Amino acid sequence: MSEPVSVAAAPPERSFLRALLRSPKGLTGLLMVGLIVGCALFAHWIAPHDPVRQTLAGRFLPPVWQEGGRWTNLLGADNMGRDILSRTMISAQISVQVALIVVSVALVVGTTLGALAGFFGGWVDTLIMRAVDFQLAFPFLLLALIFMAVLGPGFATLVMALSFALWINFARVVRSETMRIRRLDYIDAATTMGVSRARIIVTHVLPNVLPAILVVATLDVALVVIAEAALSFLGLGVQPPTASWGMMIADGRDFLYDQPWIVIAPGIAVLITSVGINLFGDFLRDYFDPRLERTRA
Amino acid sequence: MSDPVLDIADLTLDYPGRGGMTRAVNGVSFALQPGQVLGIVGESGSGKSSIGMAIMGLTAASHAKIGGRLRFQGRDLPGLSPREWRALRGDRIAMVFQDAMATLNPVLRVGDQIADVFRYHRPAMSRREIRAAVLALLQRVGIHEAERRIDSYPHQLSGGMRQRVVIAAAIALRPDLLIADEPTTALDVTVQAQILSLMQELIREQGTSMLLISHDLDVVGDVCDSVVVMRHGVIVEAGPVEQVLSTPQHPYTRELLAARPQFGAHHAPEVQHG
Amino acid sequence: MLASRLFYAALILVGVTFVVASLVKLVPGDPVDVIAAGNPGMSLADMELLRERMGLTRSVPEQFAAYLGGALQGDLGTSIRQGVPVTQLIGERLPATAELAFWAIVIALALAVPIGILTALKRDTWVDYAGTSFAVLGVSTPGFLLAVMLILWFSIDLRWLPASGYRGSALGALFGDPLAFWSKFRYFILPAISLAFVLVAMNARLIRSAMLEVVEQDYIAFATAKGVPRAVIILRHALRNALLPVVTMVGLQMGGLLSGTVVIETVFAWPGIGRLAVDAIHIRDYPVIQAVVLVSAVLFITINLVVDGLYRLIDPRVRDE
Repeated sequence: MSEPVSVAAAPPERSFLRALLRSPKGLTGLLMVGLIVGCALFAHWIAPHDPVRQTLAGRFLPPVWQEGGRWTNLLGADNMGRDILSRTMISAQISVQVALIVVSVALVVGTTLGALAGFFGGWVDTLIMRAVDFQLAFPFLLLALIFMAVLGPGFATLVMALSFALWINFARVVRSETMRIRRLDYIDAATTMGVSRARIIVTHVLPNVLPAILVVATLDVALVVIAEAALSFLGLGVQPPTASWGMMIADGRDFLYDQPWIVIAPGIAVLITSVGINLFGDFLRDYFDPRLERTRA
Repeated sequence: MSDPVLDIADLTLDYPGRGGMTRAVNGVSFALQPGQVLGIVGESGSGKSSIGMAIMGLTAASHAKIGGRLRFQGRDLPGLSPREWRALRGDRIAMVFQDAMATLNPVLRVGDQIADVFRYHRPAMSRREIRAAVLALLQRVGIHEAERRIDSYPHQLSGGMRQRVVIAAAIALRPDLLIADEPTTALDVTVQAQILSLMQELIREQGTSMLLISHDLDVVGDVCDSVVVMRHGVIVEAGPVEQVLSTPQHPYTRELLAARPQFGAHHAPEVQHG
Repeated sequence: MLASRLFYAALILVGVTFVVASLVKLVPGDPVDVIAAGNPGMSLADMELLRERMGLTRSVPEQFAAYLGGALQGDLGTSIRQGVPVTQLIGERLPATAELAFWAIVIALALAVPIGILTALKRDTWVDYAGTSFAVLGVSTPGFLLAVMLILWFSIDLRWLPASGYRGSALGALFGDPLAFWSKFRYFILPAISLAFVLVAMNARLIRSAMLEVVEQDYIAFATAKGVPRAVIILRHALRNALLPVVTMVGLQMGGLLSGTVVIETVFAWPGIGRLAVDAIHIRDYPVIQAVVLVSAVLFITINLVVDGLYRLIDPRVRDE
């Protein structure tokens, strides 16, 4: 859930790369995200063990720095003998996949509807905004929860549910930006010159709306990662044998007293992911409009 | 011979900005005697408002650097401690800003906002005494139905009434110096004259010295004893107001005079060059 | 003005009821088959009866009308698992959730206001950076993770606070039996903090932004020019204006709070409607799911209306429109 972000369409004054290199939070964020994405991409090759393989002997193995730990399982093993480091790494895949798919779908649908509403106004706008208003009566996670309740848990329904809950974030921002841009003079000039409306939207409106979309998309990725973790934690997200951080934390909860490390590793992984994304998103927002002090929702 | 109210010599004001400091005021000198009304005239960017802010000590927030001499009744202003400033402001030096709608806090009642000066400078006064004093002030500045207006919010009053409220707060404690920064610019023309004559009445009655900052030469001509013309941070001409306005020496002064809208004229009067 | 907003809100609620009523029909396959699979003792007759009670045999408009009619009379159906009226279940559990949310908001504001003011006043110093880091952390930390970590630190390692459970209303104790307050309140602490954490972060940032903007305004310079002491300027002249945008945001934050309670109540075994919903989802108790969704929507819309009204009350400029 984020408030509509308004980003002025001022062309960025310095090159993106240079701004990134000069920003500690941008770099830190990018590094953290890179770490997670790297795990997601290369987990199959770099994970020391098969994350699904259960062993009786290796149950409850503590991390290597505690007494009883072994170098074969750096972060220890869980209640079913599965290596925690490997499981944590492979869970990154789920988070990255869900986040990318959900944000992409929500972005396409939300941007299209928002641009249509903002550009054409009238009944199109009213219709789309009524839909948004209606959906706003349901808080984000609750809406996804309802979806999962009706359709049953699983990867596919999870993606559908989160996309459905997320599109309004994009729609609102794109609509307000479109309405603002539409009033600019050069749009009128283009229309008078006979440029088709579709062409105007694509070549004039969308490039100016892009900064706002990028910022919303980045921050929403963090939102989705956390939502997926929460839903999986509740048992309503991805199902075993697929591994997910939320599920690992839920499983480990029963053993919090004596084997807390089962929960700590995936917990830190979630934190790194969302903190990294939020830092980078903050940097992006500053980059596109550094003059304004904006509120954070 | 008592101290001049204001003694300013070689005053400089630098504001930090992108790419170093910008000099808003560059070596300005003038003095203001007790009971006198001095006008500072110039266009935007001339530095005139900055001088008013500096005298009031309001430039600290922008991290501005003050150089030269800036004395009020013999005291060096930039060197004052925050507590000394608080004692001075509102009590001995008061300010009237340009846009009363922006000057008044939208969520506080106007009576409260005037009462502030009593609350923090006259702690011995009771609430009832303060309210009576505020009522009297409202009546003095020409606000009818003071009983009703004292509990109003700024947005419920007209522009002229709001400015009267600001003036009431400014003169409440009979300050020695009143700084008025474009006091009538945001008002309708019909109201401007009323506000100006009100201010004149009040300062004459209380013996207050006034520094009137304006871009409007007519306003300055009406109210001030002497005038100082500023451009790009320096004074280009100074002197008694009748003299400067009737026989301007500096070409910039002449431009300003010529640029005033003339009623009944069909073309701009020619400017004498040289 | 108010009447049109109420009407619009009512319209949305009707729409929500429609969606809720149709919920069972949207389930792929036959939900009764799924339920029967988990209840081997059910006969074919039982299944038919269940189908009828759940409204699966009716058409959508009929179902909607029936559900709406029932809801307006306080009948939200009967729980499949527990056999008791759903309204009763919700009535038993709503107070626990409501009070938890209440304490979460109290904690959130008690922390957010001073942090917001401080970081605004000490802008660009280490205080501000610490505050910003805290804000980023607050927004990035999932509630359930914080809850688990808090349990680990405060319940298991330090043994200061209980890891789960509910011993009754602390607010009730305040008014009835003050000595018992702590024994009940200590169960609220960890769950309320878990809920409040993200709210503190968001609101501290909001207040900081608003304060920074307000402090630039002319009326603050005017207050300084009158010789008002700095502390009074900040607390009386500036803060009241800075809190206005926060009030509008609080209504929207309630949505996040509602979502949060679902997860937090699960972690702390809290007897509230959040956990009721999750349990109901797991066992496919559709009447309960429907009712909880409806109740949350009603709550959310009502709270937003109230917050809107509150805003109108405290901003004198809007009051007179």
